[in-house]
Amino acid sequence: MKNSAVLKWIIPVIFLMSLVAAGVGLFWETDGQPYPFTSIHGEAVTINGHGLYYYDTVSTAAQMQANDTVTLVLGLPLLAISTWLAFRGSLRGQLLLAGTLGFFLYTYMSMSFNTAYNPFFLLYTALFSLSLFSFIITMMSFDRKTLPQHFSEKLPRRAIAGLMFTAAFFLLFAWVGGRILPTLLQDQTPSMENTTTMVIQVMDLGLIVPLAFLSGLLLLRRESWGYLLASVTVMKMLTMGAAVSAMGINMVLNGVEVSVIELGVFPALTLANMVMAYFLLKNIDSRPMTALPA
Amino acid sequence: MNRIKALNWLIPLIAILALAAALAGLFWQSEGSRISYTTLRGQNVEIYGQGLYRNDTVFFAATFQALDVLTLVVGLPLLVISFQLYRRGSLRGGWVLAGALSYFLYNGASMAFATAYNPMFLVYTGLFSTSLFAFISTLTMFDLKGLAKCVSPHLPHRVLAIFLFFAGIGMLFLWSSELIPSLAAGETPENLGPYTTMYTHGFDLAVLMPTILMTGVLILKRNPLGYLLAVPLLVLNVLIGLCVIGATISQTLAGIVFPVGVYIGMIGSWVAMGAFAGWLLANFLRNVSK
Repeated sequence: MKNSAVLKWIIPVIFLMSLVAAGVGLFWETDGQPYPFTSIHGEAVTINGHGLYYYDTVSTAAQMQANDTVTLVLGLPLLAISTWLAFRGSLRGQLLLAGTLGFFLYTYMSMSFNTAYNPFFLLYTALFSLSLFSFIITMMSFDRKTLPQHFSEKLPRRAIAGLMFTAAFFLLFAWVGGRILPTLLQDQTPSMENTTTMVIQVMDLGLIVPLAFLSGLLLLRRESWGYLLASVTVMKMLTMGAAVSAMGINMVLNGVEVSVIELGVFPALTLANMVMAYFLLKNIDSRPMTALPA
Repeated sequence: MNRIKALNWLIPLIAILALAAALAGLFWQSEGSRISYTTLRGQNVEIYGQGLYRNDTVFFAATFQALDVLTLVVGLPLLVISFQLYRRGSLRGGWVLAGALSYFLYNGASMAFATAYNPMFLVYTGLFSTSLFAFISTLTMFDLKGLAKCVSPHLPHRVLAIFLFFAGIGMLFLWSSELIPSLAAGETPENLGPYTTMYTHGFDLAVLMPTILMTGVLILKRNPLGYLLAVPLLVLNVLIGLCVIGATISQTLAGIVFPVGVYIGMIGSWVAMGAFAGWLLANFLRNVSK
């Protein structure tokens, strides 16, 4: 990896900070009970009333704790392993690292903007910042000109692009078609628990959907950005899909109603992304595998 | 400078989305009046209660409307003019275009993440997304190696870097002074109101402050990435200065009156900062040649 020595100290900091943030989110308990509240948008919600996520609702607290679990169980081990591999010169490791940092970036950007203010706000902000800049540094560390040559001809580019398009359309339909348009047409406000606005939908529609379309398109055209962005998007969707699946399960365990479509589709998308991640990693070599284009 | 084809449709789209958002913010009418509201944390706030920003506080509704005026009067003309210059192949035009886009990105992100949900939500999301991808595209169209040769050695590197350090550290102190005391006392920040969290503080400290400080360091090292980022940051600084001044006026018109010291401090420091950033920007662009 070129120009990336600074990551050798940023990544351990991200590791420790997110260990603390996720650990406290999961295990710190205070006395208190959930209680009802009417949000500024007039929605009747149930405030969690205990723990770090005291001022979040029962539903959002369950989602954040599920994400904390995925961070501890999947995110942190992936961060450690991919960093170790990347600094040993493995291209696989470097791609895994970019995807894993994408997961931390998404997680802590949403915690910075969407978690009800709590004493860890500055920690979330620092994690958002560090994962943003290390993500950018990692993305810039690839030698994009030679990147396509490291992928075997057997790479199922069309299947991966197909998955990218499917995921993008799914998010588009689930959020715009399912959540926003119906209420917009009836001059109502969509359900958003006790939050100011729909942060996750801004991030999914504004960042993930265009990224998925773009990476699918560029991968079909065999452009180097396509290989890079598709690898990152597959890794991102795998971890995000696992997190959302865990959220669904945790919400059901906490007695929160969950849409059957969201509960079924996210695990399916996660599985499909696991398969594609397998093919991506299987078809990469740190030495160029295909000849330079004539 | 490599031209990017996608900008030919992204920029007009950004202009339309920003125009729609700003016009709706200023002219959307609905019945209703101000409501006093007790937040989840027990703070008493005044909610605007009318128009597009009816679920925002009076303070933020006034801020967003000042931002809308700024978009119409300064942001959009700057975007259109710099885009025209860029299309004629002007390096300065492309650079200022990146600056105009940094404003729309900042503005779009604030509206999408920090405005209480309203019917323009999808427009804000679209504005945030298109201006982010357009901003990244404009940054990638410059040839970094060539850029260093375009900047004259007469550029006052040290003054520029010191200004950036001042702006970055100033931002850190200003926002920390609103966060740390309440954190130490175990209380909710005074300005949280009905909002989920302290969005502006989070975005500025996580994204803007590190970028400003890093650019200062890169300028001192004569690294071309520093030149690349300096222009958008200076443009953004001038526009945020205008925004703070406009917001203070708008808040006063909405009936939020501050002590005289605050006016002198807020307006005075931003006039000075904005004017100095404007001078540095002009100086920088004068020191650029093909």
